[in-house]
Amino acid sequence: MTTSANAGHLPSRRLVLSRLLSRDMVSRRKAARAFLLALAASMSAIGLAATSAWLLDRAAQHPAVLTLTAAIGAVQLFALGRAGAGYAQRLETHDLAFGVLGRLRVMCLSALAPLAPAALASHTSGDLLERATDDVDTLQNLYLRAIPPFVVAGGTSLLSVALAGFLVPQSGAVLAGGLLCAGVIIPLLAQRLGRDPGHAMVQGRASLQAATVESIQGAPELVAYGQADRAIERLVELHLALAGQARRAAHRRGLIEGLSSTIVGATALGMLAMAVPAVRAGLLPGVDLAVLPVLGLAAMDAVSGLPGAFSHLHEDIEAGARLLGLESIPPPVTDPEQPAPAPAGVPRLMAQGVTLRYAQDGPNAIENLDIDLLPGEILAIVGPSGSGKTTVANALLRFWPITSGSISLDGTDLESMTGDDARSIVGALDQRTHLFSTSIGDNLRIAKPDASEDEMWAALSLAHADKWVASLPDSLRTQVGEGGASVSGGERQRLALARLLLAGRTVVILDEPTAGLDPSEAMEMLRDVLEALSGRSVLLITHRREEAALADRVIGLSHGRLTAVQVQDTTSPSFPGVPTRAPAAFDQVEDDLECGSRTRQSST
Amino acid sequence: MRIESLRFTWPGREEPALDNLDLDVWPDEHLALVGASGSGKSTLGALLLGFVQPSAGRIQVDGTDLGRIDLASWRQRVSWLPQKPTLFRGSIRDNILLGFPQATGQEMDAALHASGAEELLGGLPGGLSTLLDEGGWALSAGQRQRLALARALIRPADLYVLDEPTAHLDPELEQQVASRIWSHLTGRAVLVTTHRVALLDGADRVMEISQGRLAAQRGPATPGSWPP
Repeated sequence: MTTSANAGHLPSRRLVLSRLLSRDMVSRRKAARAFLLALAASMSAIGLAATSAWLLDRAAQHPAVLTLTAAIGAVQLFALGRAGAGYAQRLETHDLAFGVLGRLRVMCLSALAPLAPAALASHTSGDLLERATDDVDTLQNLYLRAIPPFVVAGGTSLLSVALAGFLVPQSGAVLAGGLLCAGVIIPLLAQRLGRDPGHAMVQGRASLQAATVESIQGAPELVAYGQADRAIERLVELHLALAGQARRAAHRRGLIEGLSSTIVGATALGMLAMAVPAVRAGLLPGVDLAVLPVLGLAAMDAVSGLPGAFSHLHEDIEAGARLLGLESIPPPVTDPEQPAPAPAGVPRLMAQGVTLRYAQDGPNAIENLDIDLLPGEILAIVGPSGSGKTTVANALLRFWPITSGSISLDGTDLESMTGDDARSIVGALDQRTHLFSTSIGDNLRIAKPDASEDEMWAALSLAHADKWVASLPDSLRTQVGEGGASVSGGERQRLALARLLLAGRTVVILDEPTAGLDPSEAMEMLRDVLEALSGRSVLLITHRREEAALADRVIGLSHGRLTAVQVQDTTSPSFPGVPTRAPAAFDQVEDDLECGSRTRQSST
Repeated sequence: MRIESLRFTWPGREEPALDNLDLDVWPDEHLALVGASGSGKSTLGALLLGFVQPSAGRIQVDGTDLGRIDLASWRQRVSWLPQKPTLFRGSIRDNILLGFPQATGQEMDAALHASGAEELLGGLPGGLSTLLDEGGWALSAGQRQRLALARALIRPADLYVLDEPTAHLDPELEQQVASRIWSHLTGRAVLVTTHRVALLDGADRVMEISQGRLAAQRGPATPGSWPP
């Protein structure tokens, strides 16, 4: 759709509207059914009003009952038809609208997925939440209150004008004029007047949402530092600004609706005024007189909701633009058109001359980096805080595009695979483990949706979390709270580790997996994890020397560059500390691994 | 500050996070708490800040029960670094000044130095004016931790509760930051939870918590080991 490369660029209004009403959003068949039902309901309402008005008039003349039979039948038919068709039409339009909203939500989430995490960094979570929830909900107005009555009004207007014109041509003309005003001119005016407040309200809601989410996330610190009142003041300010915009919009809407009602009344009166001379002249039977204003009122009723709906139209389009705008954000890493198959087994991971820059004009986070991770090897990357260790993980997981160089798995270039395929091989446990606000079991099943309880317990046991989970009253069904708020830092990391083990990746990046654990506990867990990962390749990112000592090889990273390849000086006198190993030395490597420094037991 | 027979159980848990804990902290004491993860160290922080109320026992400040002191005025006397600090959208300066908005330039420099954020800012072209995304996304865990530490250290307080202030720093930097924290906070009461030897070295007393109870105590530190 859009070719915009700008992350903040919103598609044009016309484009948004045509996309929101396009065939793949709105099923034409359902739309046609809804239209016909709405037309039937609306025509029945007009018919009912006209025939019952005539019936009342005629009945006042005390005619023979027999002469009223046809009219009574018509009133009954229209009354039943209006109720039946009205009910069916509501079902159909709501089904249609909620179907579209569902598709929009799916679209929104599918657009977000490839953007995470690189391209989402510049968006606040509150703003994204606003798009996925309120923006979608806002569009209800478009699909329920704006478009259907607008489309139906065309049909009913033609028929009611024809009927009124047949009775008294001048009345027909007045009705046509009234309908034109109330159904076209006023809605357009409403749309124009609603544009500024609509825009401001969508923006204001997004700011309020973003500030609210941030204040809640940082609430403990705001309270501890005595800044909670200031944060609340800021939220109140944003809220008042939004309320001000809402008031402005309501004033304008009130004006429009008042104008609209005036036109409805004026039209009915005008039709009556035109009909009276016709009755005097004998052109219209007196008993038909009441039919005209009642017909006018019923016909106007079909369009009377349009000004209100159209005053929201700009808000709808703005919300739609924000939703569709997500699709125009270029994903940082794109999947190839014809992806290469993912290698089977435990692949050899090679990075050659890899450079990665987060911002185009920023510094290199890693520079000209070579890594050769052999199948089943444990390689540690050590380096000071901010030296680019985590960037290595971002590159290997295909979260960020590399600026130059290449990364391959068993000779298959990582960039020739889909991101999902790459991540089905390479998995990570990082410093920002996220636990979802659900049960422990559900958090584990994110890694493997069909995991049995036994599998989950096995993974928990490897992560040394089984005793803890078993001690909880609700065991696997224990709720962890938002972001895992009710579990401690170490418990969180253990659950995340169990989740990773359950996912069964063959190349595993452990990014400071033991931060927050005490040293003895950390070493014990890391040993167990490495044992559990036996046979898979492990890239261990750490700054604890004793942890790096568990690896087969250690490389040092400083300012994004490889600094040194260290020999294990603590426990591995037999392990040769060569910088990189030639592929030819594969067997030798296997031997080395067997007698190397690793603590895992050979499980093969 | 005196903690007496303190017990606390998180809602929905059967095991108490803290069980019958007794602890005295003197006005100028540097106290380190160690213990396995889940032993209740962070829970103590939440209790001290009045985020949660003890299930039993009490916390006394200068002889008065914490429950009877106005929480807002008590929190003014405390500076807290949570284990998972939040950085807000805005400049690094604003993020640090959150701890003490009226801080002078000198106080800012001192806090930056003590937290090790000084070196980090040197590498950023925008310096203190560098704008952070929500949560400080572009920074590494260690960098975020140093900024949050600066925020806690810039705040003048009677009690500093620092939860794992150096967990994400590399050993060399950690050693530096640990000694700077202790000297920056000379004469103040500090309760630091940690697993790291670097911080333990400078503490007057080290207490181990296990399953919510005091398990062992060491110190006061051997004379000469600290200050250097």
